[in-house]
Amino acid sequence: MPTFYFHLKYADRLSSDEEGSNLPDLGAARKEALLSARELLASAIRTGDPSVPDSIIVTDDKGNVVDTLRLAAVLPPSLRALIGPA
Amino acid sequence: MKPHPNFLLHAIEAAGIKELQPHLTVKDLHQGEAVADTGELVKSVYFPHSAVLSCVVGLADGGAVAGGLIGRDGAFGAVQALDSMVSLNRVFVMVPGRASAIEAHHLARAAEKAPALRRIMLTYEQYFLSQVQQTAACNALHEIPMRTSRWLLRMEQLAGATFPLTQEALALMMGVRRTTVSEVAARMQEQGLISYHRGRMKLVDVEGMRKLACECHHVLENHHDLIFRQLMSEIDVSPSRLVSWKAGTGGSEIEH
Repeated sequence: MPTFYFHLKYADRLSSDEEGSNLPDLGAARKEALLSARELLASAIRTGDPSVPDSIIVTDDKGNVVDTLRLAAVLPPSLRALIGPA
Repeated sequence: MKPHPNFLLHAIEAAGIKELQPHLTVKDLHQGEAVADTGELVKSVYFPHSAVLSCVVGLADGGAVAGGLIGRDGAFGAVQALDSMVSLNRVFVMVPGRASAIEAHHLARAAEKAPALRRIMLTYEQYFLSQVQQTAACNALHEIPMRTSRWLLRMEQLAGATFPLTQEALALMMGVRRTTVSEVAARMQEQGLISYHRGRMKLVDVEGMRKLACECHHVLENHHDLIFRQLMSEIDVSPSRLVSWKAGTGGSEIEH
């Protein structure tokens, strides 16, 4: 199974993923990014933590970016509409 | 004399119970190895010295969460062995290391001859149940950074300040995604609490970790002290043996 890396991009820095996850394909990696984004955002909202990454950047084992997911994109559509276009 | 690295075997020795000794063997347990699976009869009982075992509750959608950790202060399978019971969870080796092992039927026979042995096993089972109850409350009500800190302190208690641990295993233990663990660990590293690199975890500032953790780790330390002190007074073992075990084992002497 290929390895995908899920790096966290903040406004001022990048927290890189050294370990990676073995997943069947890009579709599974996209789903993992989506579920991770929901969990990170939910935890940040519950704790009132202002330091939340603004996106998850997924790379393959050669370092190519294969997906980028903005955390704001996982908000319910009615809330996303209130904060403006992604 | 140095106390036995496993607390229950230390208590068994202190109580003068000699029936187990001829049947115990020391084994090296490897990371990821399963020592029991759901629905299987428990054939061997493990008393970890430096290994840490995790009891995992798997769910239908593939999710899983640890109910409890078993390390040098306990045993896996002892109560099941007393009455030929099956394991209701998958139990796997989270941190590799040594353990004393005994076949279940030898333990059951020894417990028939030595009632104090049965008492020690049942007391540990009560502690393990309290660990699972505390974990249920903690998982429902405490936030992820506090829970991460609490589990890492428990690992430090069982495995020493430096131990092999993948983010995936920590995520499985907590029932969260690996990316969440990665985010929390990166922040702890920035704060100088831990050092984590390529699968090796080091707790740099244990006091700082205690401040960050929820009360659950401390509560369970107190439970362990309370019920084993009571047990020791009942089986005519000085409670000072509990103190001497804590002082004489653990820390940097634990190797993996």
